[in-house]
Amino acid sequence: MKRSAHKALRPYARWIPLAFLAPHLLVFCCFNVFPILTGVFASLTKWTLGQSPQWVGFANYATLLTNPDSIYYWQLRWGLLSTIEFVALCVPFRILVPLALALVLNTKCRGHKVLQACYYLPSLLSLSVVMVSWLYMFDSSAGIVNTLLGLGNLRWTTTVPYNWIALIFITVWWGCGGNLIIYQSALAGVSQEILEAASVDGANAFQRCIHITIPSIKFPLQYTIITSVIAEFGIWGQPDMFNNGGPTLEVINGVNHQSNKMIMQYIAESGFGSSGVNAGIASSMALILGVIIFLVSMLQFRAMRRGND
Amino acid sequence: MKKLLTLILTLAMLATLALPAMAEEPVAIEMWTLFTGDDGATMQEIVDNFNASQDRVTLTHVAVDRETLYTRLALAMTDEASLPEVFVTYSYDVPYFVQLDYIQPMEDTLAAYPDFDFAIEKYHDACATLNYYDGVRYCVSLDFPTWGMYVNTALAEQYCPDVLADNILTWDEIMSVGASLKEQGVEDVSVLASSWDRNDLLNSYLDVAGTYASEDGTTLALDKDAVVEVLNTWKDAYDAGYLWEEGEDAMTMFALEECIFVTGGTWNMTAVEEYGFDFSFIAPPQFSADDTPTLFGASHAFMLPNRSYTEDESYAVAAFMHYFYENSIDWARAGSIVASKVTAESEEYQALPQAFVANNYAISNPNFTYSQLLFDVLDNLDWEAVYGRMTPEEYADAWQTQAQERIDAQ
Repeated sequence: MKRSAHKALRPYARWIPLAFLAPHLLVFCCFNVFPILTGVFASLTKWTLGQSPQWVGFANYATLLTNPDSIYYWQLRWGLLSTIEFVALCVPFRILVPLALALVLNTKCRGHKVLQACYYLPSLLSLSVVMVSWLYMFDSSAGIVNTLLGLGNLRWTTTVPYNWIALIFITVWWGCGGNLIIYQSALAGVSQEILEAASVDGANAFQRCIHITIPSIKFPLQYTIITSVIAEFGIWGQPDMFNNGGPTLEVINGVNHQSNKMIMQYIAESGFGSSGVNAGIASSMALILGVIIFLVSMLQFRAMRRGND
Repeated sequence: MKKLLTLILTLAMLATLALPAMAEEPVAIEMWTLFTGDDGATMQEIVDNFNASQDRVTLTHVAVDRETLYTRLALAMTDEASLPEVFVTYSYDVPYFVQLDYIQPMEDTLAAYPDFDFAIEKYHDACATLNYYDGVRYCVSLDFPTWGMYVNTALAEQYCPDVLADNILTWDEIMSVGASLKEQGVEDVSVLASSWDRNDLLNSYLDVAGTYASEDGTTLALDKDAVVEVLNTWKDAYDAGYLWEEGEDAMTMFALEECIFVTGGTWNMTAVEEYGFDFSFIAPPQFSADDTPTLFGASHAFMLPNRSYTEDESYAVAAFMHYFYENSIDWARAGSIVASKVTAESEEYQALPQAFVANNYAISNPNFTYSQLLFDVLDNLDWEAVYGRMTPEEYADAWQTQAQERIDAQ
C-alpha cells in the first residue's frame, strides 16, 4: 500500500519541493517582487497617484541624469551627495561606538547589566520622541547642550558643520543598541583559552583585542557593517525633523542646495507631498538609489570575501 | 371571522416587530479632516455631540495631518470602498480636485434636504466665490483660518501707544518702534516675531502684488519684483535687530512677553488665551495704513469624494453639515472665523477676539488651481533670504522655478 502511494506520487516528485516552498514564495512575490516591479513600472510613467499613470518610457531617467535645467536633476545630485557624505561619516561611528561599549561591558564591570539596558533603551524609542527631545536639547537659546558646553547661542540646526555633528550624534545614540547586542553575543563566544594563552605570552589588553577578539567576531562585524550602510542610505526621518534639510549652501538654476537634505527626503517630497505629486520621478530616484545601494553592498561583499580568503 | 381576526392580529404583531427595525436602520459614516491638535479635539467634541443628538446616524471622525490626508485621498481614489463619505480640506483645493476627478458637485445633496437649508446666503459672503468652481457648488465652508497678528496689550501700551490707534501696524511703524526700543536700551523685547514664514511672506506678497495667479486661476503669475520688495522689507527689519533671532520660537517669545507682536493664525487663539495676559488680534504687518489691510486666509470646507452614496449616507452627511452650521459657536470658541452667519451675528461671537478682523477686513485667497503646491515650495525655502543665505532675487527665482516645474508635472 505504502509502496503504491509512493509510486503514484513519483510523476509529481519534482513539484513536491515547490509545494513546500509555495507559501513563502507567495508572500515573497506579494511583498517583494510585486512592489519592486510596480516601482520599476512607476518610474517609466508620469503619475500623480490620483490619476492613471501615463507611459513616458525613460524620460524620467533622462531628466534626472541629463537635464540640468530641471529641479529634479539637482535634487538627485545633491540628495545623493548628502546621503553618501552621511553614510561615510556615520557608519564608522555606528560600528565603533557600540563595539567599544560591548568590549567594556564584556569585562563584566560593576553595573554592566544596568549600563547595557541604558545603552539599549534609546533603540526602543520612536523617531518623533527622539527628535523632539534632542531638538529641545540642541535649542540655540535654551538648550542644555549649549549650556553645558558653553557654546553661547550656537544654532545647531543651521550652522555647518554643527548640523552634521548633531545629526550623526543623534543617529548613533538612537541606533547604538542593535549593534551592541550583536557584538555582546559575539564577544561571549570568543575563546577564553586563547585570550589566556596570549596573556601568558605577554600580550597586553590592546594587543589581545586587536589580534584575537576582533578577528574572532569578524563575521558579526561584517554583517553589521553591511546592514548599517544599507540602513543609513535610507536616512530620512532625522534630517527631516531636525532641520528639514538644513541651511542653503548655494543656488543653481532656481534650486537651493541644502546642507544635509538627503535623497530620501527629495523622494518623499516628490512622491508623497501634499500637492504636486510626481510619483514617476520619485520612483526613478528611488530605483537609482536602490541600484547604488546594491552596488555598494556587492563591493562590500566582494571585499569581505577577499579578506576571508 | 375568527380566522380573519387571527390573521389581522398576526400581521399587526409582525408589523410591530418589523417597522421599528426598518425605521431605525443605523447609518455609519466616516469623515476625514486635517484637524489635529487643539482643533482636532474641538472637532471631535462636536462630532460626539452630534452623535449623541442622533437616533441612528453615527459619524466617525478621522483626523490626520494635511500631507497624510492628501496621500490617503489619492490612494483611496482607486478603491471606492476605502473612501470616506465626507472630508474636510481647504476650499482652494477645489479646482485641483475637480481636475483630478476627486470630488463631485454638492448641489443635488444639498437640494435633497430643503429643511436643512444650505442656501449660500446663509453663509459668510466669501463663500459665494470660494464654494463654487465653474458656477457649480463643490463645497460647504466651515470657517476661515486666517493669518493675523496677536498684540500684547500691555507691551503695546508701554512701548508704542500711538501706533495702534488705527489697529494697523505698518512696516514704517515697525522700524520706528524698533529704533525707539534701541534708543531706550530695551534689549529683552523685540517688536515682532513670526510664527510661520510661509504665511507671513504670502500675506506681505499679497499686500503688495494682490495675486499670484492669472485671472482664470490656471497659470502661475508671480510678481518677482514684489517678492524681492517683500523680502527686502523683512530683511531690513531683521538685520536692524527689531525682529526675532534665528532659532528662537516666536510663540514662546510672545508667551514670555519678549515681543510686542507675533504673527499667527486664528488657530493659535486657544494657546494664546492660556498665556494669561490681555491681547488683541489684528491684521499682520501692512505696507500702508491707507488701504484696507490684507489678510491671507483660506476656508476649511466639507467636500464629497467622487463615490456613490445611499440615500441614508447622503442624509447623514447633510445632517452633520447642518448640525455644524447650527452649532458653529463651539468651533468659534476655539478661535475660528466661522462661515455660519447665524453664529457670526450672535452676541457671544461678537465678543470673541477674532470678531474684529472678521467684521472689518476681507480675506485674501487668490483663485489658483495649484495654490497648495505654491505654498509647499515656500515651506521649503523658509526664511533663507531673510537670514542672508540666499539673495531675495535668488529666492524669487527659486519660488518661481520650483513651483512651475511641479505644476508642469501635473
